[in-house]
Amino acid sequence: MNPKLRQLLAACSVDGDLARPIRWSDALILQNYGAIPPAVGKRGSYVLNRGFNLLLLGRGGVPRYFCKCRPTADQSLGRETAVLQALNRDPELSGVAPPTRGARSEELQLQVSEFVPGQSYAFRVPRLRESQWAASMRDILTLARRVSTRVAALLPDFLAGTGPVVLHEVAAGSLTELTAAGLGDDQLRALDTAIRRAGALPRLLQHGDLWPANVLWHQGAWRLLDFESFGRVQVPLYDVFHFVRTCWSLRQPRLEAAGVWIDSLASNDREAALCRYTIRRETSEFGLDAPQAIGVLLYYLVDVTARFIRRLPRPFWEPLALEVQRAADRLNAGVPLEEVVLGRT
Amino acid sequence: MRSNWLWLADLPGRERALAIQGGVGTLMAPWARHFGFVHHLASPRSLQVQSADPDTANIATAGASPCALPYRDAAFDCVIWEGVLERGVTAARGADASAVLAQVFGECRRVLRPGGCLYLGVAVAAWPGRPVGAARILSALARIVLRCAAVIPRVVWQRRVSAWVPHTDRLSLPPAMGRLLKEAGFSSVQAFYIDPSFHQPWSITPARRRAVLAYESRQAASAGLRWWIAWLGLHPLLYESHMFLAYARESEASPAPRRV
Repeated sequence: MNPKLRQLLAACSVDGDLARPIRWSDALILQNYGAIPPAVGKRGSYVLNRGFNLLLLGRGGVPRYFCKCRPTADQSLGRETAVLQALNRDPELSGVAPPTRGARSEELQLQVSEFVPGQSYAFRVPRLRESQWAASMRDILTLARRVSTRVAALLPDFLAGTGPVVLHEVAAGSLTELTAAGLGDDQLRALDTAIRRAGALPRLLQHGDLWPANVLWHQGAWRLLDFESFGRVQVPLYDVFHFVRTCWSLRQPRLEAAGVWIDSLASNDREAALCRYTIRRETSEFGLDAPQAIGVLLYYLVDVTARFIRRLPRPFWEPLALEVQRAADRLNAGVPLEEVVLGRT
Repeated sequence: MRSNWLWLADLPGRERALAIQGGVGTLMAPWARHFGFVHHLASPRSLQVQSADPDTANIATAGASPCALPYRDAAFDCVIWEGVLERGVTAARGADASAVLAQVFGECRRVLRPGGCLYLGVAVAAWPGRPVGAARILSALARIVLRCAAVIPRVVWQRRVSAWVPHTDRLSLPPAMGRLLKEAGFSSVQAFYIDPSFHQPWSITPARRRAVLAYESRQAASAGLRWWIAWLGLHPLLYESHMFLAYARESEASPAPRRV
């Protein structure tokens, strides 16, 4: 193994086992997103990327440590390490995230976590019965809410301000980017109006990428992974919409024929009813009203689409852009989105 | 991301590297960021002038055959050779590929410093020579299976069988390369699999049973056919792209480097 990487691993060692030589056959590169050091752009600035992950095996070939390796300029990994270490120290939530340490050099930053061997919720969710699915979503979203509240107390610097979030202000940037996705002026206006109707919401740190692949079931408890986007969004319910939508899409027999989630929510089938019920319950838990929930849903769809447009080619963001268009079309047609998303209360 | 294998390699230094038959502007830039100076060896036919791009100012391009490297002994910390079985010297398939590879490996060993590392990237793991080791038995079995497939009435099964049979020559690659590298004077050889492809190296897994089992376990909720193939020790069958790291460590056990 590269001596520089070995040094960083030794610096992250708790009980000394990472300070010992690591056999070449015990290190796997996974999720190899981009080169470290990253490519240099024409203007001399580094083109950011997410580096790669390293899986270190222990005795008997059992995964022992999961390491994230990122370029030094990457801001997200340091934030994630801070969140995980804060959770590790918290007596109530120490089991939610694995014990984690971090180190950095001039060209590489490293985060080393004990490997969590649980089963990914992404594998479980398509096979769950409806009642099991509803119960597991409730438990996971409750846990995510507890983490959000607790980390805000443990790391107050993560909050972008003390006052409430004015939704149309945080959504404005992403909304303008959607012209690239083919949204017309009337559609953008309808979205903006509905988001403005939500007004101001209490500020709450969000996981930012809460979807089934980032949730594990281990030793009778749920664990959350991948806090790299934690706190980027500070609008309550954002995680709920992301989680429910991605769960729904994983439960579709054929993903490419899954259709549009917003349209599905309007249908009478049981899965749609469970989605609506979960969203309604979480809205009530956060103390929000229906226009606020709809505003956050639209903000979520607009924000996630804009982020995909920035980073990924068209086939990845096209289905999301279609969700936004359908929502805007329903608003323009005078359909009450509150009923579609929350059901008749 | 194709350059991240460097984080797995134990290099004595990062002063000077030799890249054989890479292309300026493709992968030369990452090597130029990792090493103080990179010599790029192109075939005389495709020799290009040195790039004026400031990002690659520390790259010098020369035209020569890798069978006779125009460099002094122990000049480099690392030699990088991508597309080993695809390009240039070994493009001609057949029994003489071994002889050509042995010659190039000997040259690579000569120009490496003590402790230096040779990287070999193989995009399509198809050993051009005779089957080696377990592949001999399996290729004989494969011929029988292929004959049987012709009489299997269901088209789907015929396709499945026909799709797997050509992969048996993947089994020959690790032992054949390992033998040639050892004969060239490399003291230790580490083999890895690249998945899903050489050009999209999403993962790099040591070619060891337990590492492959750990990797395959992460890919699916339950043990499937791939997991069982790996469990049987036939994991080379599963991966199309391979890489090798061969070290020129000085030890009493290793034979003297072959001079060409």
